[in-house]
Order: sequence, then C-alpha cells, then structure tokens
Amino acid sequence: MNFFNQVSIDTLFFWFFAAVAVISSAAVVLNKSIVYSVLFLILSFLSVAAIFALNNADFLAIAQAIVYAVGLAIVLLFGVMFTGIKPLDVLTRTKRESFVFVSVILFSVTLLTYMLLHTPLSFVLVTPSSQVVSSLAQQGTAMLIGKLIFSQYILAFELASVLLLIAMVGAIVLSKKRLDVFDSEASFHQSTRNDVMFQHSQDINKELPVEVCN
Amino acid sequence: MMTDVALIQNLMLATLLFSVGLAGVLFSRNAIKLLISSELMLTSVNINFVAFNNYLNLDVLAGQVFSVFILTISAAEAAIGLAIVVALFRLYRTVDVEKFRLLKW
Amino acid sequence: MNWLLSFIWLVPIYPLISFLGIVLGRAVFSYFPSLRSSASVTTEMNEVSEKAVSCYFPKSWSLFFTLSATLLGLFHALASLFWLLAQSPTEITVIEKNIPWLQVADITFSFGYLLDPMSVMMLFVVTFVSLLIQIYTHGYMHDDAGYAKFYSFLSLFNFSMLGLVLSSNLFQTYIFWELVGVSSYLLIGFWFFKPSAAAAALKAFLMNRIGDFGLLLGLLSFLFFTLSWWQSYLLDHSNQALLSFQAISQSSVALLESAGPELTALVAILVLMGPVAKSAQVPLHTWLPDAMEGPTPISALIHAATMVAAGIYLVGRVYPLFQASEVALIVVTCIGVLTALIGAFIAITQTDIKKALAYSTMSQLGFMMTAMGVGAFSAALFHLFTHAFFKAMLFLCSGSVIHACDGEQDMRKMGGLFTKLPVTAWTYLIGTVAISGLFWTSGFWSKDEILLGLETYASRYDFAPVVFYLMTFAAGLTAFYMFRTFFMTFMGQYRGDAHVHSETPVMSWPLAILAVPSLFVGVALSGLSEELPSFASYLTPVWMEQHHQHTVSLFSDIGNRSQIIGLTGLLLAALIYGPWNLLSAELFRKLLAPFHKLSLKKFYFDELYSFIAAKVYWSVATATALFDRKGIDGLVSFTGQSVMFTGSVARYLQTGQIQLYIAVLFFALFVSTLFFLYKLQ
Repeated sequence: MNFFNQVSIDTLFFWFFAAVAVISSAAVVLNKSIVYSVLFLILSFLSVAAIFALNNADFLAIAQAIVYAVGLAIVLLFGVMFTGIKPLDVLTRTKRESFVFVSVILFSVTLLTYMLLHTPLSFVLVTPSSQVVSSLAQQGTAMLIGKLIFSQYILAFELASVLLLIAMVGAIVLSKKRLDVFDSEASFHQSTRNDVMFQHSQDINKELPVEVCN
Repeated sequence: MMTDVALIQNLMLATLLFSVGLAGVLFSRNAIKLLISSELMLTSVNINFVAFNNYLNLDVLAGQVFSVFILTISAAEAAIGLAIVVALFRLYRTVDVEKFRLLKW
Repeated sequence: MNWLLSFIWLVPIYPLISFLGIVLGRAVFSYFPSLRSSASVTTEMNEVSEKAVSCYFPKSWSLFFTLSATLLGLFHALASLFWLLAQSPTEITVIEKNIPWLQVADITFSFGYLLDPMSVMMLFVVTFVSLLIQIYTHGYMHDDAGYAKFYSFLSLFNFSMLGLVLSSNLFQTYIFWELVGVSSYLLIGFWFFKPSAAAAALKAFLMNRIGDFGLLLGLLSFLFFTLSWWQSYLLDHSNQALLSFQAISQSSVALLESAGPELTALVAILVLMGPVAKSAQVPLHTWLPDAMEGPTPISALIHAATMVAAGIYLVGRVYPLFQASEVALIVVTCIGVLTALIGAFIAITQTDIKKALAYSTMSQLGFMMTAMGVGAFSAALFHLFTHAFFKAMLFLCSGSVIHACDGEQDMRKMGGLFTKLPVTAWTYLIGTVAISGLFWTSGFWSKDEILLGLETYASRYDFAPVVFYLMTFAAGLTAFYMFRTFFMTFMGQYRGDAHVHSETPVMSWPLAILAVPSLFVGVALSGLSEELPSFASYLTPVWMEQHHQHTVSLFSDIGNRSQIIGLTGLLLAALIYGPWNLLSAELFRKLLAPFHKLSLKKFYFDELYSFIAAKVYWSVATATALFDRKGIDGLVSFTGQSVMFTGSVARYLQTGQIQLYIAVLFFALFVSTLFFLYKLQ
C-alpha cells in the first residue's frame, strides 16, 4: 500500500506503456512474420500515443493513434499484401555483418546513455506548473498547435504540404504497372537494335564518296 | 500528473526505442520491415520532442508542432518507401534487401 | 601617274583580293550547285582517293582575277619606274609611308611601304615576270585538275612577294618573308599526291624554317642592342618605322657601338641565315633542286626570278649591317663562292633538265652573294635583275619542252627538238648565251660587273685573288653546263619515246617577250650609252662608298677574258655533247672519276643531312624519348596507378548492401556527435 501511496497512477501508466512500447517494438524487430510485425507495430504506436497523452500532448496522441497506428499500419499491410508474406530470417547474417551491426547498435546505446547521464537538464524533476496544465486540460492542445502552425510555422507547413504532394506523385509514378526503366527485357532489345543501326550507319559512312574540292 | 517521472525516464524510453529501431533497420532482410523499423526510430524522436516540450516549456507547444511535422514527413517517407519496395518487388520478385545488390563493386 | 604612286600600297592588295576571290568563289560554287553551268565544270582528280570529284569554279574567272591583279600591279610598278627615272641618280628622294600597327609598351611596330630604287627595281621584275608566267601557266596547266587552285596560290605568292618588296621595315619584311615561305610550300607541294612532291615541299619549308629562325633571332638581337637608339631616332623621324630600312645604316653604327664587333658579326650572321636559306646558299641549299617537283611555272616564278631573289634583296636591304662587320662580309663572300662553285659543279652531271637549271640558279645566286660580299652591291642587284629575266625564260623553255614531251624531264630522252620547237629552242639558246655571259647579252654585263668588283676586291685581302679566279672558273663552268643542257635537249637525234607536241602560242609568246630583256636589258642599263639610265648609278646607295669607278666599254679586259672563258666552256660542251660526237663523255667521266662521283652525289649534302637527322638527332631523340616515357610518363602513370590501386582496394566497401551503408552512416553520425560533444565541453 505504501508503494501505491507514493506512486501516482500516472506514473504507473507511464511505466506500463513504456514497457509495452519497448517489448512490442522488440517483437516487431524480432518477429519472423511480417504480418505479426505490423500488428506489434500498431501496439507499439498505441502505447507511444499513451505516453504522449501522459506528456500533456492530447492532440498528438490522437494524431499518433490515427495516422500511425491506423493509417500507416494499413498502408504497410497493403505493402505486405503486394509483396507476399514469405517470411525471411532476421538473423541470417554473416559474422562480419553481425559484428558491424551489433557494434554500431552498442555504440549508439552507449553514446546516448552517456549523453543522457551527462546532460544537466535530464535530471530536472520539474513538473510543469499546474496552472498551465489545467488550462491545457480545459482547452486542449489542438487549438494552440493550430495557431502555431498557421502563424509562426506557416512556411514549414506549406513546404510540408508540397512535400506530401510530391511524395504522392512520386509514389504513384514509382508503383505504376509498367515502368520502362525497370523493364530490363525491353531495354535489352532496344540496345541491340541501336547497335545494329549504328553498325549500319558506319557502313553507310564508309561508302559515302568523299567530296573534297581541291 | 506524472509527479515521479522525470524527463530522463522519457528520454530513456526514446533511447531504447531508437536502439531497437536501429537494430531492426540493420538486421531485417525484409524491406518492409526495414521501413517499419525506421518508423520506430522516428517515433522515438517524437517522444523526445514531446517530453522536452512538456518538462521544459509547456507555455509554447513548439515541440509538439515539430512532432506534427515529423509525423507528416514520416508518412510521406513511408509512402515513397513502399512504392520503391513495390517497384523493386516487380523487378526482383522478392523484398529481400540482400538481393538488391546491383550497385556492387 | 602620281595617283598610281600614291596608291602603291595597293600593289600587294590586288593579288590578295584575287586570292580571296578565287578561294571564296570556289567555296561558293561548291555549296550552291545552282550556280554551276555545265561549261564551268572542270573535273579534278581527288588524288587521295583517286576518284574524280568536280570543282565548279570557272577557269576563265580565276585567270581573269589573277591576271588583272598582276596587270594592275605592273601599272603601278611602271608608274614608280617612271617616277624614279625622272629623278637624277645623284639625289633620289624616296617615299616612305607608315601606319602604326602594334604597340608593345613604348615600342611601336609599323606597317608601311618604302619606294626607293631597290624596291622599284624588284617591283618591276616581280610584276613583269609573274605576269608573263601567269599567262604561260594558262597553257601549261590548262588540263590540270587544280587549275583554279593553282592560280589562287599564284596570287597568294604574289601578295607575299610584293609585300616583301614594298615593306618599309625589317619586321614587316619578316612577316612577308614567312608568307613567301608558306606560299612556296603550297606551290612546291601542288602535286601533293606525288610523295616526292610532298617531301620536297616539306624539305623546302623546313630548310627555310631553319633560316627564318636565324633571321628572327638576328632581328631580335639587333633590336635588343639598338632599341634606345631607335627610340631617339624615331622622335626626330616620325614618318619612319621601327627598323626602317632607311636608317639601317645609322643603326648599324649604333649597333657596333653598343654591342662591339664580335656581337655585331654574330647579329649579321644570324640575319644572314634567312637569305642563305631563301636564296639556296650552301649549307641550306638542298631544298632548291628538290623543289623542282612543283609545276614548271613555279620553278620559273619562285625558284628563278622572285623568291630566291628575296634573299639577295634582303642582304641588299640590310647591307650596312654586314658592312659594320668585316667578318660577316667575309662569311657572305665564302658562302657565295662555295655556292657558285658547288652549284655549277653539280649542274654538270644532272640529267634532269629542271634540276640542271635549279643548280645553275643556285650557282648564279652564289655569284650574287659573292658580289654582295665583296662590296659590288649594285653588280649583285644588276645580276639579280638580268638573271630574273633569262632564268625565268630558261625555266619556261624547259617547261615547254617537258610539256611537249609528255612530262618527260630526262635530257637523255630528249634531243633534236630544235626543229620541232623552234621558238623554245631559240629562246633557250638566247637564255643560255645570256647566262653564260657571252656576246654582250644581258648576262654578260651583269657578270662583268661582278667580276670587276672581284678584281677590285682582290687587292684587299691575301685570299681575295683566289676568290676572283674561282669565280672566273665558275663562270666558265656556267657556260659549259648550260650549253650541255642545250645540246642534249635540242641538238642531235630525238631519243625519247613520247610523241612531241607542237608549241602553243600562249606558251611561246611569254618566251618571246622574255627574250627581249634577256638580250638587251644589260646593254641598255650598263651605262654604255649616256642617253639611257645606268643601273649602277641608281642602285648605288648614298651610304655606299664607290669602290670602283670604271668606264664601261664593249671590249674591256675583264669582259674579253670572261668571254674567252665562256667560249671555252661552250666549245667543250659542243665537243662532248654536241651532235658531232667529237669527244666521248665517257672518257672524261673516267678521267675525272672522283669528281664525277662527287658531282653526281651532289657533294653528299643530302647524305650528310640524313645522317645528322637520322642518326645523330635520332639517337638524341631516342634518349630523350626514353626519359620522357620512363621518367615523366612513369611519374604521371604512377599517380594514376596509385589512384587505381586505392580504388581497387576501396571499392570493396561498396558491397551493394543497403544496411551496411546505413551502419556506416550512423557510425559517422555518432562519431561526429562525439566530436561536437567534445568540442562543447
């Protein structure tokens, strides 16, 4: 009971969702089946959304849940459907590759932890002032974010919209059914045809009378 | 309110997620899983932004705005990435990144 | 009259316009087929592929362009001649006009023209002779494929030669000097499909380049020593150009003062290298006989009358420079004597009619050079003047003979052509007499002047009498070998196989016209008559002290002696080569076997040069090439090879595996993070 008196429910939630996020992420990576991976990814994203909510970011939490956990996951599932669900071994790597990868990962973990431990800010136990929190709880963050986006970050917003448009066009072009660039057979034929034509033109050149006017 | 959870716990979570994502990116042979793992890494970055915003300056929600942009860009990236994977799949009849080795010595 | 004089600068411009007109016309006619009419089409051989290609420029147009250009030039030349003769020989005013052309720092190079007795004389010779030769060319080249091309080259040559003659200063002379070299290259190699012609053109060009290099060095060193003098001089004489010929005399004195006698001699000898190459003097003469590969009108125009004369002309122009150094004058004399003797000696055994004439040209140029060396300045120019007429005529005669014999040039396959080609034979005889200096023809008077100058010279040095005797001997040889060619070609029985064509008027008329000055120009200008102008009085410059003041007569000692020697040569030639077969040539060949071989082998000059080029130079070149290939190239390829080695090792980083790249990317990212972390602390 003592434990529960000391620890608030939010803290419990934080640890719980953090654990779920980490475990499900690990499952995403370690799972052989790609379909399971996507399902675990949804779980991971949802728990991250909960973490967002705990961090006073209600709009972002909902956005995360909708865009990532639902939208992106469904798109990825479509991709999986397009490309087949034949499982591929995760850890079928040569020793050298594994060594490189593991060392890079260890390096990253060490470095990030070192940075965390040496950043003075990270130990700030300051919780945000209750006044701000309650006002946020009343009006939500959506309006504030909207105001920021459409005033201070308008340029970035417009650029992001252009980027999305380009990405959409690019995705359509790339996934079009017959793409000549990737059509190796067609290009092979074309090249041989060119070779023949080139030889032919050389022959023509040889036969041309040289009209030198002295 | 998370009175007992400090900034560093959030950052720890982000670090763990990032490392797991990195491991996925490096080890997975399935191109789609590679994309998924990179989404994980992006999410961990989002956690960082939100946490910093929450603990350091909640008056201005700049960190959350940045998270929104990251969300947008990761969506775009996922779309393009999937399109590329689909195109590659048409060519090679597989999504194994080990097989995409045309640009070799 | 005066307006012709004031537009004298147009004289080189006319041929230039003609040249450009023909060249552009040919281009226009080639690109616009609608302009072609069937009458104007001439079929040219494309010699490289031996296929017939058509060239559409009308022959009559190119003939008209060239002839009118030369004719206009001749009018100007005549106007200037009358202008000159209207003046008293003792006080001649010259005309010099200059426009600034190139300004480098405070040095201004100018383009301009100088009209003085020398340039007027050369102007007349060049325009007159080339006009006749261009008319003759119409007959000679009529069936040749490159008719229009030939006329365009003739125009180009006339442009360069007239520019050279008229130029007011040494730099302009040098420019036109090179242009003359180029056009002679083009003309010698006109039948470039013959390998021998191509090689001859190249040889002429290279030999001339050697000389031109010396000339350029001489010019620059001359300017180097006298630049400050010229600058102060030009302040007072603003109408004159830098290195103006008018001030060569004073500037040579300045050169002697600033450079000392040794360097002055060096400068003079360097300048001499140009004329030595261009006038086919001894060390650099080998190109002239080979240049006979060109069409015969070219041999007449360039290698007899004009271009080779340019060397003598330049020596005359910068004569004070040679006078400033005794050594240089002796060098000039020695080169001249050697050339005259060697040329005459080789000419004796030549069987090719054009080569025999070429060596005789060389020999006569040697006479002129000797005359320059011994100070018989006006005699040299006088011989140049008369020689231009009769040697051009002789060459045209040989061309006529060759044309008649279907391209046969070997005199052993000729003979007995006197009756078949009467005009040619008579004019050839006149030319032979003239060049031998017999019977008071033009050659007699000019050679007489040279021998007179030599006699005067004989008292100046110990070796000088030898020079006199050698040159007298060479004069005798001249008569011998010239009459040999005459007898072999025109007398006796015809020994060839080809059918002999008859003469055409377009070719025989120029011969007949040239015969007139060959016969009479000498006696007219010798000063024998008080009525007529004397060549020597006009052509002796003011800075030249008179070495000899002789009275001209028909029967002077020198004249008698040289006539007797010439007649001996004639007699010997008649005995050996005449139709009467009185003396066997074989006998002499055996008697004088070593000399005969020496003459036949042309004194081994070609062999010597081949040895130098092929052995000495080749070994040096091989050594340097080895250094270049192993040393320099090795260094260069080492750089490349090291790069390639690095690449061959480093390329294994490119595994083609995406995740390895990602790993490297993150690794680099973390390392840079670490770096910044370290920097921040």
